[in-house]
Amino acid sequence: MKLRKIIYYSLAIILVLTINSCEDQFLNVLPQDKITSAIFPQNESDIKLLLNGVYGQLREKNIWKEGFYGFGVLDGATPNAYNFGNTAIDLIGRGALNSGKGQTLRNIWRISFSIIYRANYLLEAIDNLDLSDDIKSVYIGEAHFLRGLAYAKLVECYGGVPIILSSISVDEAMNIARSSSEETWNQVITDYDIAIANLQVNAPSVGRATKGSALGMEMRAYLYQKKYDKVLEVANQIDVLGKYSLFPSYHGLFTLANENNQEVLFDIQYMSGENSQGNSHDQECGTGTGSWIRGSRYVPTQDLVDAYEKIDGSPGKYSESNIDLDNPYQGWDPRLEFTVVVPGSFILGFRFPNYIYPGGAFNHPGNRLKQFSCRKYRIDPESDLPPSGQSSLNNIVIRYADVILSRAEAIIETNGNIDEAIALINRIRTERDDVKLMPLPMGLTQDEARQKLRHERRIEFALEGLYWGDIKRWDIGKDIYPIEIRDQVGSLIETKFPNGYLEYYNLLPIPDSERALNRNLDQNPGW
Amino acid sequence: MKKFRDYCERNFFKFISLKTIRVMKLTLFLSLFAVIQLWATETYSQLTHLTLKLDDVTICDALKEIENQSEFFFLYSPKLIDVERKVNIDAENETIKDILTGIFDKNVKFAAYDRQIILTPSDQPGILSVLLQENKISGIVTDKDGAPLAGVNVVVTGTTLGVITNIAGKYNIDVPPGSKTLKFTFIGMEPQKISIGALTQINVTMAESAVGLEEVVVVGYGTQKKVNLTGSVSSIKFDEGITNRPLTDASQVLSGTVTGVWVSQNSGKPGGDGSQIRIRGWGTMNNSNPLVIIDGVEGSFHQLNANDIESISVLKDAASSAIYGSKAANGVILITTKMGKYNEKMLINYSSYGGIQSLGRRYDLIDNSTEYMNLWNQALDNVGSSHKFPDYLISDFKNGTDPFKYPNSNFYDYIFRNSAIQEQNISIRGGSAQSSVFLSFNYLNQEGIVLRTNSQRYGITANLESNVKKWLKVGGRINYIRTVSKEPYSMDRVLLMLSSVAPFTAPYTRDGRFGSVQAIDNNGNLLFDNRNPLIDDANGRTITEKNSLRANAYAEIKFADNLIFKTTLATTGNWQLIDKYNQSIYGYTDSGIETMNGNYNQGGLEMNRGNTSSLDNNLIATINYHKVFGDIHNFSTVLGMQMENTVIKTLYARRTLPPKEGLTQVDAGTSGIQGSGNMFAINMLSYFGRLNYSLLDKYLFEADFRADGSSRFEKTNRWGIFPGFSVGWRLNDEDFIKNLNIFSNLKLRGSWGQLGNQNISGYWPYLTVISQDNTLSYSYGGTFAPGSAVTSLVDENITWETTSTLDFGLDIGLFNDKVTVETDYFNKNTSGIIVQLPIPLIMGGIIAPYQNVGEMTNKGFEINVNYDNQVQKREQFRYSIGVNLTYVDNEVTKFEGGKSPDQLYLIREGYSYKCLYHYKVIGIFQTDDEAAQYMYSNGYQPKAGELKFEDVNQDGKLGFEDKQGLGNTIPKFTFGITPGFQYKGFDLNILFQGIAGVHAYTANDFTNLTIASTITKRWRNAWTPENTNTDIPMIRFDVWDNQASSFWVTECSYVKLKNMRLGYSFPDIFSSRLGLEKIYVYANAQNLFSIVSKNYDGYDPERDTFYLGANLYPVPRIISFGVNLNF
Repeated sequence: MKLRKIIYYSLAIILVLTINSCEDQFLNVLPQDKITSAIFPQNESDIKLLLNGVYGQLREKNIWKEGFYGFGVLDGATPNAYNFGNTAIDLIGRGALNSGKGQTLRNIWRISFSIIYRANYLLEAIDNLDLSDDIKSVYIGEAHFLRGLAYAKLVECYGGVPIILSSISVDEAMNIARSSSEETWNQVITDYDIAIANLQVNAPSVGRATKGSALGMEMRAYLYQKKYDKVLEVANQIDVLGKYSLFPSYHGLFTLANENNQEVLFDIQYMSGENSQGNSHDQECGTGTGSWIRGSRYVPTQDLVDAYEKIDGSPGKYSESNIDLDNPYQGWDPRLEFTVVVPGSFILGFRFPNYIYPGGAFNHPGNRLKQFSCRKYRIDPESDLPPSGQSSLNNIVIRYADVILSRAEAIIETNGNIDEAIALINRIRTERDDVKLMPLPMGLTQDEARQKLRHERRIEFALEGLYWGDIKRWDIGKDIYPIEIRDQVGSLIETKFPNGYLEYYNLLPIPDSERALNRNLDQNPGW
Repeated sequence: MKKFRDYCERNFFKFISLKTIRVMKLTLFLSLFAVIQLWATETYSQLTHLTLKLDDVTICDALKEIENQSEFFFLYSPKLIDVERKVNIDAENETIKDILTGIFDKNVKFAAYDRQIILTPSDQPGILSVLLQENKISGIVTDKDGAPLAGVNVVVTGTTLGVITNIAGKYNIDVPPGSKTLKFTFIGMEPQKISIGALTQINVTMAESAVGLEEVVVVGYGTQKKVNLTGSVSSIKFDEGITNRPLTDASQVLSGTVTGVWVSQNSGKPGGDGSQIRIRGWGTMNNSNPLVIIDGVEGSFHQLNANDIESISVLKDAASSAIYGSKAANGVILITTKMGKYNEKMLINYSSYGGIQSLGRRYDLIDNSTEYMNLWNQALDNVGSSHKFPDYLISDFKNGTDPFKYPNSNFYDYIFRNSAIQEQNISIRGGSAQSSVFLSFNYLNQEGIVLRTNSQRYGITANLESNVKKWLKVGGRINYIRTVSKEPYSMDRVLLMLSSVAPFTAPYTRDGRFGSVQAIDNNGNLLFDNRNPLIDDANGRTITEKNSLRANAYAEIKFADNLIFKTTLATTGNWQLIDKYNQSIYGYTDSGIETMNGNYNQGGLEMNRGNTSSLDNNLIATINYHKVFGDIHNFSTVLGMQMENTVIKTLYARRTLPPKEGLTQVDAGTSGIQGSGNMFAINMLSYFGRLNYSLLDKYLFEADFRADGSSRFEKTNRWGIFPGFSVGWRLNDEDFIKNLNIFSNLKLRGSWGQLGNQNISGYWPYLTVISQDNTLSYSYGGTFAPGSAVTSLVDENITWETTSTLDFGLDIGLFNDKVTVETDYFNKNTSGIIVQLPIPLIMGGIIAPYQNVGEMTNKGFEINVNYDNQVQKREQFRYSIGVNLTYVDNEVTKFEGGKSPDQLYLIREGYSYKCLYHYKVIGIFQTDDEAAQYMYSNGYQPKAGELKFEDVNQDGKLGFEDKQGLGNTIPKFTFGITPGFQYKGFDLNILFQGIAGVHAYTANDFTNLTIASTITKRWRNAWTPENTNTDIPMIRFDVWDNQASSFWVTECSYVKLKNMRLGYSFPDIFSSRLGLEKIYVYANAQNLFSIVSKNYDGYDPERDTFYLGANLYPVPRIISFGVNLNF
């Protein structure tokens, strides 16, 4: 008994001592699937990871709902398209939005500030790294470019916002106030200027931002601020690069075969496959020919179709009853065919409108606009369709046609040489192989030229998400709203801005949830 | 004889004074005397050689010296042996026999028994045998009805000598001379002490102890008599009655039966109905699940078959659970599985039931297509849109009688069915003198009430224990449970379709294919997408296999009677495998158009398999010690340590596009290859202890502590120390109370303690990690470009949450415990709650850090009143009733200084956790004018018929400032009522269970009108210019009324007849004729009906109150019949 006791007690003591000595080791358990901040970033490839992480936000998954760039989804807020359901864009377009609609408003806000945060993180990280200035400058340029994009989006949507240029504490974030709209725009220009200075004409790999990308976006920023002299100045710098021109085919511009062509200054890059780097545009804009290609998230309207001219330049009034269903696009501005699926035409092997599909028809109970569908950015035929969420088709953010039309607009608005401006517009109408429209006559007044420019811009960029911004900066909301959206038999689906367009609709409200956390964030007037 | 006894006693005392420890050995020696012969074998005395040199010492001193040098000791009477005589000893390596021969002359005989040497005068030859004569006592132990009691402990008082009565209640014991009393003990009976005197036959009739009082309750790392409990502990003994009902999860037995415990079965899905258990409310904003300990090791209820459970203890206050420290903040449930008893006849138990399950409450849907279309058109009218359903179609449906062409479907009738449930259970328990055993096999087969859902479970349990040596007990428990559950590819989608299918959808076509929407206009245009839930129900399979193995082995070493060392090595493994595949299934209109359900198989055809395996290893060592000082100070302690290591590994693989449908394995896919896998680990090291002290068995004191170190926290914040203290005063043992003759029990209890919690999602909350997954990545020109970013902030100082609980309790027993009352007041305060405070999105949309910043209190009381007329005889009418009620007032006391963001399930200082918070409806606008005046500056202009929300700050528009509390989602009251009746073998047991003071938010596809939804009948009473006296707004598709508001808040209190059982126990005469010990048959009804607020719409109100209530698998109503046989 004595001996046994001694053995047991010793064992117990040994056990306790052993545990004590390896206690730290036992309790130190670390993740084996993640990098920790202790060893990151260390070299250029780490910085590249960070940079890709900023770019990654541009293809944020929820764009079809709220639209950072989102293909044409923002047109759902305009007379160009109908956006069914209670999606954000629909609410904006109907004037039914309020500041409490959290999920609606927050995404643009969130994604923009996420880009800003990640760009700031990269800039701070690269500062502490021992890399050559040559290598650094590209990353610095791209980070500033992306941050500029984010601030530009914010100021377009919300007006002035808090300007954050470095990492901030939670406490600061809860107290920071909004800068003015002008200050925010200045930040946009500052970022773009640094980007322009640092970026090369050609990026290290296709799809990354270039000097041209930054110039293009800076031009747009000046256009939105109505700083037309600056628009002209930057447009000249773009031309000096000698890199960009109109792509010969309007239709081809939006197809997989011609991605990254000479007209594209900057686009959002997608790829197919299982890395989840694709988009689901085909599904969201589907037409009801199968289950997962039937979304119809935004659908072109009669109002948009009506806006297209005949090929001879005469105004059109497209109607199902007075066209030849066998040749529905005959005689119309070819861009109609490349942008909108109209009754009689085919998509994915089915003939439109979708209610005459022979079987397999799918009718989302929310979508009542069945006579039209989008064609721009759509993949056709059905055999080429990627699985949902895996489309590799890039979303163009800015293309050379925009440079031409912005220059024309700047000339008109500064009351410069109107004929020069008209000539620029005519480039759009005549230069492409598949768009040959009657050129506009010379000798127009400034106002006539302005109307022609605005029309051209709406048609050229229809369903590309630019019209909403144009309506706001042209201040034409009160002229075009309210507008009724009707189905094929003329039944009323909805009325956009039934009470007319009010000044304060130009800005989105600051999300309530943000104001609840930071009482220094003033709300935009009217909301 | 008397003289002789005096002689012995004196000498015993002498030995005690010499070497106290020898007493034990002496008794051992005496008891073994009969089988040991003098000098018979080569024993210690022969093998031991001593060297002794003593000059001129008394024999007495010489013997002492021998005792000091060796393990010998001497037994003699100084009256008979002359030990004062002086002797000289010069022994060099001699045996004891030789030495003694040299010391004594022939008039002293000596006999050695191992280490004991007895000296007797040689002229009194008989004395040795008389001295060593043991007394044989036998007898029979019966209960008060004369029935023999098996397994009664019979112990010679003051010794460890003891036996156990056999099946016939008989015992034989050899008691050593001088023994005074025998003690008889048996669980549930009053212990008895009987004087031996000269008796050789002692028959005992044992009386039942006052109900419950002598009950032994399992507590942390030990057991305690219920009378001595100072903390708040509820215990449930698992008699057969408890499990005679369809228990698809063992936790359901706690429902409605235990104060302070709220169990809510939130789903009726076969194999997936794990209940939500809350002890004294929601203790934290994180995981509020209690710690479940099965046979000393952490586990969960779904690893158990209810029939294997022996007892459950629920530790509710901090002092009782402090010994479990950092995992115990939400209470501890201790489960002990069954084990055979030593010396128990092998008993076979077979129990079985079969039953029918059916859907109980359901949403009250409009299933008339004409009415549905009219309401839909009206809803469009009300927002100025044109009709969707043309008049001719409506009239066709009105006049049409062909059910395939003009269906009026209620899919509850097609998706749900009456389904079977059955369970078989067989177990064996019993034991020999050295080993005890419990073996069981269990099989449960549950067909779901939703088509194509089912679950099968089987479990095997083997519990063994053996007294290997007097000082060593070893045991092991192994339990394996396997559950295989099948359901359609996406159960969620089946339920979603059910909530959005229109009644003009035909379930099937006339030729037996799946049907489709029949609302078709004159152009052949389908006006609605197909949402036939039968199609999703028929689609593919999700097969979930859960395997769980719990194995533990333990050894108990008795260093001494009052010093026991126990070590347990336990492994718990859980392996879950989920297989999924889908199929293309279409619906067809009566005219033959092929349709596909909305969003059907969005990712295409795929096969995937996900595996999660977790292994939890525990090493637990404890030392128990107890000691009584001066008969009044009773101490007992436990000290222990525990090492725990948990590793969880996940693996997932998926491919798409099988070349042919019907292939189910991942390898069949030709595209879309995806895989993922990860590992999570957590290690814990703990030291713990408990001290119990009672004075005079009346004044009770207990202290507990535990120190826990967790790998979840940074090194400097790793350790947490959790103390607990409790006191009790057994007033009924005080004379001034005893003399009142009222109380059979009266005890005051008080306790305070601190517990920890670390149950947050994430295993490394203090580490800043750079995330690198595909959502952060990008591509350039079609080439993948992996990206990374910091996506969450961390607080490196994160550490334990602390819950302090103050508890006062009063236990009362009246009329010999016919009436018992247990009440507790508690105040539970959790601080340092680990939460993610919302941070502004301008931080970059990153995830907020986990911080120890929240505080929450749960104050309340529990009361449990039981009455039992305690009649025992079969012919008498026995009745009992128990009522238990728990009140918990939850309040968040610290959370971001009251500036927390507005959200529907609000977390804010001064409010109940997750209370509903949004706009309050104060009516319906009766005119456009009224609306325009009230909401004069709102962006959207509401109109007549729309809801009028209270404009709290009266700024004429609706903003976040206008939100307010709309009711708590944590029930204030939970209660149970349990009447029971017995008469002539019949018994009726009823369980009512309910909650009160609780609300639920119920905006879902059933209750709400959305672009794809069913319509409930309440919308018949919607506001119209003619029907203005209603609280239902105008029916319409819009956002205004759909905003979160009190319109969607429903009082969710209910009383439910949870269970009712009528049983009959056959008379013994009858059963023994069949060779059985017991036959019991019963009928049982579960979830029979609920009484609930009339505004409550939906399934069984026993549900997750944080959930909208639509897409859940309803809990079935079950009628079952069963039998229990013992043989």
